[in-house]
Amino acid sequence: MPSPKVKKFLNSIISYVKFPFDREDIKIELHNHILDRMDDYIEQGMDEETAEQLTLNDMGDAKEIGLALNKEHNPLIGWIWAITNAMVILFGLWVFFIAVFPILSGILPRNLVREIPKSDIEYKIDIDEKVRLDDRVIHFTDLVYEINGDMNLFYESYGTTLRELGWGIGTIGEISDNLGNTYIDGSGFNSGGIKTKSRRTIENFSNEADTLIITYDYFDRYYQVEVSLKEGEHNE
Amino acid sequence: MSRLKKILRNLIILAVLFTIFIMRTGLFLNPISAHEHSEKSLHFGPSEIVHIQDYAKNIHILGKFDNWISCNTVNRVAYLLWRARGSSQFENDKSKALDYSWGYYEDYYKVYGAINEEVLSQTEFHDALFLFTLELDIDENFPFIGIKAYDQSDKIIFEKSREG
Repeated sequence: MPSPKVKKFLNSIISYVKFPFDREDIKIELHNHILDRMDDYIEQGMDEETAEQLTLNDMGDAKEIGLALNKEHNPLIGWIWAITNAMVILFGLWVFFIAVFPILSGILPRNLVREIPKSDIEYKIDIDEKVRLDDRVIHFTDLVYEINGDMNLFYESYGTTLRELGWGIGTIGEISDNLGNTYIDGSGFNSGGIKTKSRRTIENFSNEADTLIITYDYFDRYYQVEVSLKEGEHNE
Repeated sequence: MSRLKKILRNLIILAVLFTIFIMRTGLFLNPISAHEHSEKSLHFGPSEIVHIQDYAKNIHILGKFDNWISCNTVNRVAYLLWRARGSSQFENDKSKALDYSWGYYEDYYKVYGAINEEVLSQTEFHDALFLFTLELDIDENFPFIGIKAYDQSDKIIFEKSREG
């Protein structure tokens, strides 16, 4: 705790320092310097009051020191530094929550196929077919036909550019079978994340069909994936 | 590290964060990039831009791609950035003298389409495409009632009521 005289001296100096966030640090540093100097005088045999006065005399004019320190701790640069520090923290947190966090959440492993109880599965087929739509890759991975007639199509999709990463895909196209049935209705699920895992469920898929056909034919983009339904692993 | 170096470091970090931010939020530094990306995300185009029209602080981009006519609305976000509000398009039926589509956005309507019959001395068309923005009373249910096209002798060559 500085004495009233030292406190007055220090306050006088920092009153010239315009950048407020540096004032406390300057005060502490100067106080430590004064204490060191006082210790030297005391070691030389002087009493505390004399040591303090001599130290303050040695320090010089408070206004001169204050103006020099204000020049060194330029308030404009100080404020730019403080404001950019705050912006980095706030903007960083914001970007993390709106942009990075959703992408990272998709990294968590999740096997959608295993979410169907094994007892409900009539057969399962590994597909491994990749197609590309502009900057998006769609990887069809599995087909699971359930005892109740639901056909589940599993696929992953991801963007090949930074802008596309983390966005899901809209339609994968029309689903039909070799018997000429077209399946428009169905429910779906998208996991989100860098590699979006999706499941599309088509109700009442014909159990007499031999082939499932996925056809995308919009705006001059086209692909067709045919999956033979006779090669699956049947549930025993 | 000196304070100036710390400021430089902060500015670099902010530039990287800003890049990530605009990459992940569908925002762009110019309206054409916003439009192009919007079409790409719909797996449409790239369309040839035929006409750009400013209206009600938004930019409307009329284009054509193969048989499709498209119109995208792009608006300004935070003075500096642009976001596409969704490209709409329709396949032009060339057997009709005129084919069009319409929609409303905020408090006005936009009607766009193509004149499929030869157009002579018309200044309101852009490579035989048109785009009209209309301020109508949006409190009234569907105030846009249809479209008519006349030839040089004021004969109606196309007439159609609004499709729901």
